[in-house]
Amino acid sequence: MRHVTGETRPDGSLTVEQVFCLGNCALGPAAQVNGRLQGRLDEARLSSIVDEAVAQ
Amino acid sequence: MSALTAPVTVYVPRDSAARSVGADEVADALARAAARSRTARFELVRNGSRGMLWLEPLVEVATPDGRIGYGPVAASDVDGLVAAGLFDGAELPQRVGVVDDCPGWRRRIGSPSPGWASPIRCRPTTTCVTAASSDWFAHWRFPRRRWSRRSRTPACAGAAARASRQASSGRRCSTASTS
Repeated sequence: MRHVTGETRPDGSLTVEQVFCLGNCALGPAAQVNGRLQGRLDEARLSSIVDEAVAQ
Repeated sequence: MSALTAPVTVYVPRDSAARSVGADEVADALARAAARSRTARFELVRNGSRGMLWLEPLVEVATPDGRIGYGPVAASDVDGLVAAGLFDGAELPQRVGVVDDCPGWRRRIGSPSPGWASPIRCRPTTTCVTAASSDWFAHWRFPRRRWSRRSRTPACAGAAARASRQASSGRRCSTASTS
């Protein structure tokens, strides 16, 4: 998955923004997907979460 | 159909850190597994995390010996763990024992055991001792010489000395938890 931070896909399905801190360092790497905090991310887990969110 | 088993109380954190690694899914899976296992009474308590985030989602099962912890537990593990005796506190790979006795937890709260140096209680370097916190010191025996005299500001020194004297006499909490 290639995506530039701060941009939205042409079809509007995905926007990636950079944040300073999610306060979840002990369970990092962390992300927030559609308002839900996700911890202990790796590439596979992030991909599956994003794919699921985009599909909805 | 098997007979109803004993009542079960299970704790699963519901703070944002635990939820970020799937605590909600684990709680749902436990409730479903309990319904299938026909426990006489199943109580699911969504508590706050104990802060040992490397164990999250940390599932705790109430037993006569105390709350037995299992972690980290994934939702996909739950059915297998329940079948292997999670609700009875069985020995399983994720079992961490009685959580109140875990070294990680004892470090966080400060162990009431004599000679245990708690990093939390030994270094109140930024805390000015107030009425409320001197009461806290009085209930938790702490190693008096561990923290540097230099760390106390003059305004705090009198209250800290009083708290220290109280701490050496008031040992209600440590007596209760070690006996």
